Amino acid sequence: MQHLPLTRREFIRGASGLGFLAFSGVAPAFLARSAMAQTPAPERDRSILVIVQLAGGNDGLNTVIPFTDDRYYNLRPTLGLKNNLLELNDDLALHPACQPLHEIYGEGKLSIVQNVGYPNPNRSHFRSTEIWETGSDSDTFQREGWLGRYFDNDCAGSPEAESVDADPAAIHVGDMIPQSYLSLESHSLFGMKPYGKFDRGQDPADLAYEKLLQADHIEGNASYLQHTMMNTLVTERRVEKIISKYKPQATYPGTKLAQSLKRVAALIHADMETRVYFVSQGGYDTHANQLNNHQRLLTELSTSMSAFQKDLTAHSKDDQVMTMTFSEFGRRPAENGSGGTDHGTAAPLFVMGSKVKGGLLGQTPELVTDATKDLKYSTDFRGVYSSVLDKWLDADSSKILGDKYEHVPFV
Amino acid sequence: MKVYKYYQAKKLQDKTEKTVFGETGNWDGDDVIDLTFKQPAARTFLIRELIKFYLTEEAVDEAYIEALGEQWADHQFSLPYLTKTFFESRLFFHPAYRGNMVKSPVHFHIGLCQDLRIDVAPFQSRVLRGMSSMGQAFYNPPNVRGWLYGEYWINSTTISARRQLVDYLFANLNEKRLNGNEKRALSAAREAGRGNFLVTNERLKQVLNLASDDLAKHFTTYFITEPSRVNYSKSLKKIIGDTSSEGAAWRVRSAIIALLQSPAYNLS
Repeated sequence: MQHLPLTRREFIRGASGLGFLAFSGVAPAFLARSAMAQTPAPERDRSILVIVQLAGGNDGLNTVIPFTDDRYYNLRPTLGLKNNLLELNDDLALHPACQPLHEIYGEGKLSIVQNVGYPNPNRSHFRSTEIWETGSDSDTFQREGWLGRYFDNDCAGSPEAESVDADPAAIHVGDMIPQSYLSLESHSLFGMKPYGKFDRGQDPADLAYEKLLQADHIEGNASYLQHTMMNTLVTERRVEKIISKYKPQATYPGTKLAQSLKRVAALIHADMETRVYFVSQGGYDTHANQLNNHQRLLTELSTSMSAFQKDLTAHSKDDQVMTMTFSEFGRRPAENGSGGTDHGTAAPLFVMGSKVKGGLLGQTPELVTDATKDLKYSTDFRGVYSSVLDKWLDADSSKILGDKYEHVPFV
Repeated sequence: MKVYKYYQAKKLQDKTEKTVFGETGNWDGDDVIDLTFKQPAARTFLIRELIKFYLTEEAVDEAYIEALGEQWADHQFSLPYLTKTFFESRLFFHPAYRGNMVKSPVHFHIGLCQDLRIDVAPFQSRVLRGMSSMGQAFYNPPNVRGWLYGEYWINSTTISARRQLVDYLFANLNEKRLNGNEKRALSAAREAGRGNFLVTNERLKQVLNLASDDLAKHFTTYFITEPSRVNYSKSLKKIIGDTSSEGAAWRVRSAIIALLQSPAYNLS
């Protein structure tokens, strides 16, 4: 199939020629200069990681349901799910809203890692998210994220990372850089919105801005800002063009998560060199009225992930992409008095991809009868990270995580 | 000045002895504050924070920090003494700390309003959403440690948000498109004597009696710090062109917008 000539280098050198120069009526000198500077060959077969954050704390026990365990129904007299469960084996089933994910599971392209957590769990959203994003112990405070340290280890020092039009090391959808991306060195990061345009067209003020950006800037933060602003301008134009031309081969729902993933699919299809993407779905903090809310959330999650996987497959990109969910914690085994569940500890996570081995991994959490008790994790989340880093991103996880963790065999 | 006191919830109080910083006793809240200020680090902690917030994230001569810490302790940890001394010091005015610190979103937003002599727009949701897109949602830091400051304010998303804010301040206010809450907020603000929220072209016309190089010099002196002035003036002069020719007000408008979106204006 003829693909759009939109790798950075193809875009610059390919048949359609100086692509981005064409859509800015005036080509600023720095764009033209950087267009000339390209030489290395493209790599089309890099592995790509897509992180889906389930913000708020996803209820693990109502995601992967131990439907033969009486203790589950005793702990959850109103929230315990009984009907239309999607069986994974004789004892466990997915939430009925996860039909599309269940199909992918059936195809062997979805791994479910059970009961993932860490020692001495913290129940604060902020802090536990930070622990997950930095990959640190619950009693150490780290600023750099696990992916940021991966960029520091594996993406630093290459001349292209310094060039003005290099593809970003990582892209996120949303207003804020995820802490997972924070690094010691500076890497090119790009953030985009899930909806709407962001190329700003030909306003005279925009052209004036481009001219000012080309003034000489002093060393330090001024030149850092200049560099970042130029990168942003170039990347915005490219991304806008890629997204507006993209023809998805699957029907994405209108939800924020699905639209975010559609944009990620467009950029992957365009052979961006970016290897890490981060999207987020909020609302999992289901303290009250959980039945309906959780149903809606998991529907959004599974329809979005399924559309994404179908789209990647139709574009023959599925071999390159692994999609992984995470949430800062699970919820308590016992329901509360408001038809919801409160902040808990360990929970399952999903890893999806054509190269994923599939199946249920790790131990099923041991339920308790005491309603004040929490689940005790059996798989350390850093074991999941180390598998991703070593086996998927070809990195050295012990350098990045500061320790060796047992791999989880999903890849 | 209002004096704040600890509220004592006597029923909840554990009256057994506690060890704080190596000293054991039956402490109350005030005692713990006193114990904290006995620690050597208490003398320099706030000074380091002031330096980080106002001057630089890079290391500053330890001798300066120690000396100011001693003086502050000698003045019974008086905050007015510390701030007055710090803000009047040669360190605070040193040229090395000009034009190299990334403004926080609050600094950027409020600074724009001050520099342009306009009021913060009375549209709460617009202002708050803008702050959050720039990476500093009021009262909602990303985690317990707070915001990271410095270069971490800057990424492609936050740059777009900063540019959008500047665009907005130079746009026309389309009152018809405001919702009911916004209309009420606008008339309340006007009744309270605040009416200037955006920069109009009428205001820009007032500067057109200056030639383009004087105007460029004026803008760079007024809006940005010394290190970028010369280079920026050259570019601005070209952008503004002949101030007596047609469309000059629009070119001045473009020039100021670009200047306020530029690297130099994002630094203080």
